[in-house]
Amino acid sequence: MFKFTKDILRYLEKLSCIQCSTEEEEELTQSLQKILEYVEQLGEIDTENVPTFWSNDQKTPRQPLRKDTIDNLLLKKPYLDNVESTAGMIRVPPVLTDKGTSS
Amino acid sequence: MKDLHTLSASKLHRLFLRGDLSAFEITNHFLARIEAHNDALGSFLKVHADKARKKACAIDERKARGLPLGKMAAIPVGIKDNTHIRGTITTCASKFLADYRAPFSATVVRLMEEAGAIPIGKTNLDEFSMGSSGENSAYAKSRNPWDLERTPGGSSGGSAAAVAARLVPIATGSDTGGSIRQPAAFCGIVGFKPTYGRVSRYGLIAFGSSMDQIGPLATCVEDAALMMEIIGRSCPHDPTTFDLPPETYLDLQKKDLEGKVVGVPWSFLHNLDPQSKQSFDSSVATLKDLGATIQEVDLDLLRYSIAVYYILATAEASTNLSRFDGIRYGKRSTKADSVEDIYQMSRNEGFGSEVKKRILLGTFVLSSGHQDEFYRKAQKMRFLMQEAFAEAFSACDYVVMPTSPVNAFPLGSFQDPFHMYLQDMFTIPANLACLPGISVPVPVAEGELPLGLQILGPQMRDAAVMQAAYAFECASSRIQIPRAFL
Repeated sequence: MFKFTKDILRYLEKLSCIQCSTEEEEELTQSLQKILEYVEQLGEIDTENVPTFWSNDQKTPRQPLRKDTIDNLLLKKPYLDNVESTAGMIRVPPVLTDKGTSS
Repeated sequence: MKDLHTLSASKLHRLFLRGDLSAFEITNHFLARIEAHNDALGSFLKVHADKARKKACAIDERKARGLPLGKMAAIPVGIKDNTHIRGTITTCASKFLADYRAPFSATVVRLMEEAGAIPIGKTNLDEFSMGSSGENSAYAKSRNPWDLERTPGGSSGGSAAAVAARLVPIATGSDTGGSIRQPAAFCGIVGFKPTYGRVSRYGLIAFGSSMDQIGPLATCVEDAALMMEIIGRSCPHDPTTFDLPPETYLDLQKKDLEGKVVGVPWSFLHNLDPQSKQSFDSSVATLKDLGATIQEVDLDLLRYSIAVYYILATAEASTNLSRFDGIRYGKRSTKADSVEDIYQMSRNEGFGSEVKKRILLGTFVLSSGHQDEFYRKAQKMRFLMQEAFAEAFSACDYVVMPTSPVNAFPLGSFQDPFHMYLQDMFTIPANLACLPGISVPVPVAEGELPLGLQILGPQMRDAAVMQAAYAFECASSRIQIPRAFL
């Protein structure tokens, strides 16, 4: 049985840029352990030679790829209205700091 | 007219065309209903009263001038608040998007507006559509108009409750694992999930991109068909939509199922509680009375649906929600002073606990060392499920099952969300296999909570599913309005 530990959770927090409190970590470790135990039942089915599902399969006619041309679909101003911006560019804090890169 | 909220959207449209009602009159009536009842129900997060009245006046003027009118002219529509209406806030019921103003309209909104519909406001949902009870909204709990202490279902619970209580004649929902059909069943209305690719997802904030579909929540099948007639078409901005002409949904003539074969996966349904079993048996008897041949189909593999879904949907969610970082999208934390802090603190402050959990789970199943064991395995299982349905549909025209194993449960009754996940076992398969599915109310005794019958069809047979639901609806008793909202 797969053991979901707090170390794994902390690694996932780092990967997904989410930080949990100690209480949240306790609850999440138990909760994710339970879900992973549940999904282990998939091991009952042999899928050795089964192809993976791909929703955009060839049997269904989908939109053809559009032409690679400039379209005026997305206007810049309404997008920038949602973020901090200067001169048409999104403002962020400095990436390079005295201590080196911030990440 | 005093009780025009008791009329269907199609009927309101016909009365408008005949000159018995104006678009302004209809819109005002529903705005007053929202004003009177929304505090109790928590169905709408935002009401666009001025815009709606302005639009209604414009439609009345078009009519007065003899200009062409669309098929949804004068019909107020509720829009689930994960779907964009240009220039208005789309919150996805998350604090993260509290101030996010949509820079464009979703294709479904544009198509309905072109057809004369009047978006009246944005309806409540579980945050980022993650939940089955409406309790995960960051703003307000949605409540069921049949019993305010119970859930309206989720994630499109706001839309379902609003339609059931007639605060709006019709609304949109989105369905990733049952989010249209389950709330429709809990609220005693009709909810339709189209085949994946039938309706454009452009302008819908993505949760599980390979499963998300927008569809109608309505008081009757005819209204659901009306909305599908407008929104069920290909879209150049969503490459997963079909490159096919739209189907015709409104040709609802046939009131029987003569010559049709209905498949029932009895073995998959063996754990139904007595009330659901009795109700389902009676629905199957109705289908038989309508002329259908009932045949058992083997869909036992579906018992793995929930496990497959919670791997794939969370994997897709963790990817889709990575864009909410406080820079590109989402409210930026005011406490952050470095880029890394912005990402982490904004996401911490912005996301609710269920969303965080699903992102972490999705990150896990996609992470190095676990991808084959979980994600790839689930994709293979999804392929097998699609094959199982294909085999079933080689022997029958429709597959039926209850929409949910239970009726609307009391708010707060699931302390452990995992047990709530298990309630989606009958709705998830259609999303995994990309099938069209509808929930139609089944007759229940006076005082009992609503239940739904789910009818599934093969991919791209959306109109056929609608037709079967229409026949069932004609043979069942009329849809009721909750007493407190008459």
